[in-house]
Amino acid sequence: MMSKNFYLGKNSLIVNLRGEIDQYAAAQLKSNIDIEIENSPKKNLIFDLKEVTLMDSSGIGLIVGRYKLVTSLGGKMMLCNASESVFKMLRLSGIQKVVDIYETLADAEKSLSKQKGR
Amino acid sequence: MNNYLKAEFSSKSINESLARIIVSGFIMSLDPTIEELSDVKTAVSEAVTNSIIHGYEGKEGKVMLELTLEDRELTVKVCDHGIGILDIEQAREPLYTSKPECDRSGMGFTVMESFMDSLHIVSEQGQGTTVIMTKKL
Repeated sequence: MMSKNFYLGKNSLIVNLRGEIDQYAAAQLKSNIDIEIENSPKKNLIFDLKEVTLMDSSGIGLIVGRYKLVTSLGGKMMLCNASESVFKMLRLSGIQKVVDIYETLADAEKSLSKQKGR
Repeated sequence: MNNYLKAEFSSKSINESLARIIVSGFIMSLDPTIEELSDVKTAVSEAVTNSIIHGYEGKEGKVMLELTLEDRELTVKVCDHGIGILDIEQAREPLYTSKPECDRSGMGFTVMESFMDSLHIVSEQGQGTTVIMTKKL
């Protein structure tokens, strides 16, 4: 079973995705995440993929759709904590060309605070 | 060990996970690596999702999953009686999607092709689509 979790980091809304992200899960998650993004006091979004056990291309669709929304609102989106199999899917999709992927949540957050200081 | 399994289920998105569980259980006796297991589960997920979302376009129908094991080669056949694919070559192109408004990435066939050893698609408009994939385990 898949569940979600949202919380606010220093400079971003953090979405903790869990379980298997397929078409069924992505459809359930999509509107909930969009509501959180629109109501978030932070413009940036980090997807923490630590607890994602499988992601098919519906997960890529979910990420790309949220990327478009976040950037249209002037924010930056990043991903972190992808397992080897999830990373394989991300790489195949070429999403790393537009979305920064970090090893840990701390790395992703650090990059945002650096940008803020510029 | 040679083995065979055939399952048929409703074209509901919730059954994507059921299809992954079935294929995982089917190949478990071969003691696949984590990567092999994940590749096969993901490819099956893509094929079944295609049948549900594109074949039946969310309408009620039946999806058939047929699995064959022969000398450590897995053959996965996913079959629907949906609308079929107008242009298979175009559908196979990475990032092509007939449903851009639905957050579809257009990666389905690319994933199946990359994660399995072979991919064969047979489709006829109005008749349905059959996807056949193989992978040596």
